[in-house]
Amino acid sequence: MLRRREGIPMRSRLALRRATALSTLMILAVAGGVVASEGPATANVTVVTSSILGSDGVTYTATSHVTASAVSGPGKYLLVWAGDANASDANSNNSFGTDTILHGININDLPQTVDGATVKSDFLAVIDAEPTHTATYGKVVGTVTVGPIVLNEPHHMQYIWHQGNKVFAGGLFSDITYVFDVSALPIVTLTGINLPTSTPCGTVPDAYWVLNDGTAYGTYMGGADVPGVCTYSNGRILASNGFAGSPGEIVRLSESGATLAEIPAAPPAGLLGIVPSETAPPIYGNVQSGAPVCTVIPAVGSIIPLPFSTCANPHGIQVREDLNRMVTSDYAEPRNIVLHPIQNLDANVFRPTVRIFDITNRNDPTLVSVSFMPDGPRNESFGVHEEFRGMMETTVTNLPGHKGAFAESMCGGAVYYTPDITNPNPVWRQVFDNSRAEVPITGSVLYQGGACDGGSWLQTSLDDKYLYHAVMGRPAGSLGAHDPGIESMVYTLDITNLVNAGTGFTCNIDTIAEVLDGGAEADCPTLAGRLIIHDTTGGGTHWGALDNFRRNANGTYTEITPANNAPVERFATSNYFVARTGRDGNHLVCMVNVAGNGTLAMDNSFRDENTGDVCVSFNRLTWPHGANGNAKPHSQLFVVTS
Amino acid sequence: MKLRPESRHTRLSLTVFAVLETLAIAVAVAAGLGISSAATSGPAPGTVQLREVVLDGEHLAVLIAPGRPGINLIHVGTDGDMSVGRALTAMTPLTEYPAAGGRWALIWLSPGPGTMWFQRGPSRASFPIDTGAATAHPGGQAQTLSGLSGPDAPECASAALGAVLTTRGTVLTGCPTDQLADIDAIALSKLAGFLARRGTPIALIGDSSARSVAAGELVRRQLGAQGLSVLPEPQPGHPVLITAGWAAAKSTIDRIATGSLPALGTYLAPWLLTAPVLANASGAILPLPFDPHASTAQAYRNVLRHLNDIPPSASGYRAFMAAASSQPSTAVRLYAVSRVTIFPNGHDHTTGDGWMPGGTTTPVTPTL
Repeated sequence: MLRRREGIPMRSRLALRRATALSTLMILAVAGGVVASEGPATANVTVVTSSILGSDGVTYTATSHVTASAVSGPGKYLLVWAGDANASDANSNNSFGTDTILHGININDLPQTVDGATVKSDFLAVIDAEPTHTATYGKVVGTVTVGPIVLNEPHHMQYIWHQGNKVFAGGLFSDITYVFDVSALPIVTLTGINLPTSTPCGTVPDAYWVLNDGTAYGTYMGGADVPGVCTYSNGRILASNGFAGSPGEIVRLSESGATLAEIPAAPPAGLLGIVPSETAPPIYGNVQSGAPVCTVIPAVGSIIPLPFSTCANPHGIQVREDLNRMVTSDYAEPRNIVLHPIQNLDANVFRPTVRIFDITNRNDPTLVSVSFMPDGPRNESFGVHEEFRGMMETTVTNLPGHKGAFAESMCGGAVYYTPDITNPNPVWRQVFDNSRAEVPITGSVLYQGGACDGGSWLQTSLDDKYLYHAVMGRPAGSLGAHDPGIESMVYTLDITNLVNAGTGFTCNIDTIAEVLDGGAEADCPTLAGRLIIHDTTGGGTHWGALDNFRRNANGTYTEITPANNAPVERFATSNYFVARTGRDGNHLVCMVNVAGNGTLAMDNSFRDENTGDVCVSFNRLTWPHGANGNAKPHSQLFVVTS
Repeated sequence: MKLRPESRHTRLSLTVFAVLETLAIAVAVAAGLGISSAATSGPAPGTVQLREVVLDGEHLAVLIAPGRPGINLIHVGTDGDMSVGRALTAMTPLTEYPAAGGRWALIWLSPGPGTMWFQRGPSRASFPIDTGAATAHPGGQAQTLSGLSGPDAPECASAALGAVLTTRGTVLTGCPTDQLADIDAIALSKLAGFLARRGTPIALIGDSSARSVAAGELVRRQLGAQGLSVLPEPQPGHPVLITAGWAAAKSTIDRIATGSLPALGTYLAPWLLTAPVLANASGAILPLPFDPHASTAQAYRNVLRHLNDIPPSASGYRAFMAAASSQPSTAVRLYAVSRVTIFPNGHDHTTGDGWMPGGTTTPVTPTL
């Protein structure tokens, strides 16, 4: 049973629509075993709570708070997965924008300030993203708070939402995957939850890819819940150094969030489940040939008496079901720590590898290749700045005739490409260096180019003409007094020639001139557009989502797919990374228009309802669910109702 | 430098104390805790003192335990050099403890009223303190509290602080290392059962405290009953269970993190949940009878955040709850504590959920 309570009466059409939606939800509740309860009402806000009983006996909830400004009928929404900003996030490097509630605290002000530091619920924000809704475009028309778990550190959802999909949303720190039904937006229902104990071989969920059958693959970057050996769904046994350690895994999730399969990301083990070492290729930057190229902590030798140097910490994930291939990129062992007070971080905790799986058997994919991204022409002072360090994201091409994929490095500042992910020995080459697109924050001269510039979201356009890439930037002074920093930005590459070149592509960034000017070969990507999204917090533009829906004349929506070969005309960005790392963000969510030639322009009509400024700020005191203060928007999706 | 009138410091301290009291009561009420009537009275002589000094405009929390005549532990929420004493002519430098933040000193306090002085460079501040009569307190004199003078004194101070946050007039009669608390015994027993089911022999690392000795006996007995031995020393491929106090535990955790001590997994006694001990804990596992993310635990952590961000601790939280007459839960789950820092920006990461710097505490088992 699902019930709701309203504040003041809403318009009849909306009420009717809600009633229809609620009827649907009631059916879902019965079918899915969802237990419903009634939430508190707030003036002008409709409150609907759905709940589900977890395997641990705890009741988990999602409570929709829908404002009276929500427009009835078909709509397009931006769904933003956001964490409550609180005392856990305050450090010397971050900022809460205009909200100084957690800063400069005088002990005498305690009763007034402590509430701002208090931990509150994480939530999905529902933003009206339909430009024809002139009165509500950019407004937060609803929020969906999750409970009772707090401090989830909301992270990623799937990369793109298709009509009928559930939404999979992960908590980086809570090790939880939430599954939401969004068919009745702006009301959202919790239909599934995957708890830490449901994935004993993996922790720290990062990103998701939803398959045609509605199930999803998720990357779990960290090692097993508990140190020791862990048995995966296919019976393989691997040793792990534990929570947030190594090796990570892939999890296949049902539409209700159940674990269908825990899939090892590391190659088959040897004796006693020992993970085989993944060692450096013959020529590999400043890493000695054959040496372990990936550090795990605790150090090698303390875990087991044999080599243990896996790079398997999958972060990015995209799938080509028509090719039966899944591509994942390894970012870092999540729990890396600085063990020596004066030494730099061990560069080897940042992974240089991309993995390709054969997913013919969806519950038991086969690891086909582990590729070490090649070193580039930059000779960096710090090993962690080399091009191949921190392979955070990957994206596949989309058209049936294309088989390529891209990958990018967060700390290396490089973009890589392989033309054929069905090749068991794929050829990966660097095809672009972020340095070409970067703009210094101060002055006009770059310092060490793309070194640790925070390369993040990487996404092909659905027609394979463009590649979009978000770069968080680098605060001035990060690399010393001479570092002018790098602006936070998103840029577009024209990849037409590269993709069309097929397996005979020639592009290769192998000179410093190509780092700064772009590749010299004719099929190299070219910079088609760039948009600076200024952020002075130390964080910056980390994520993006394509608007894959086009509005029809009757107000309904048609999905843009590779099959109908229509161009994407805009995407949404968010400025937030992970506050506890010292890289926070100004918490802006922006809309970016994409022209036919790939140039980018800010959508100046997508404005904050409180300040009137361009972009929606998640630094605000009040939300539909209450005066809970600032929030941290990590990822977003376009979702439509028809 | 001209000294500030004592009366001003008195007013300030009282004001701050009143604010803290208001906050603690508000927090406790919000958390559904009971508050004793003693919380509304002034500081009682001979009890644990939570005070404040202001040096160069910086507000510094000061804890004095037990606040009775005799040896007292002074904790100041600062990382800078300071000294403390009952007279400007007899100042004692504050020092660091290996597994605790802030600065510390052990000093002798004479009976009755007096002044507590603090000095940092040329700056001085003071507040009045009354330790009461030498024989007026049932717990005896401070020197009977061996836990306050040993390497794990910060845990004792943390427990005293947790208690005084919700109940002023706290008389400190012992330290957590004095005995194995019932709830800790339950938690360790559950953990031993979990380890026995995994079937891998473990190494046990303790110390000479009464608590650790009792914990070691308990774990050996539990494992032995299920046919599992305790290794004579840590070995590759085998977990380590640490039942030592804060100082020895931190040292052991750091050795494991650097690879100088072999361990396939680190398990910790529940009292080791505090940020300075866990700074380099990599996926360590603790049995806890409470959720560090629960509202009451976060409320306790929030109060400490405003006291120069003194780290919360399991012992402090237990005292915080006990002082408010809250019955501890015996539902134990295993929690993984780990840093999740994932960005090489070269800065010092000191944030987190308060219990684990730059990281998180996450339940990884159902209730055991």
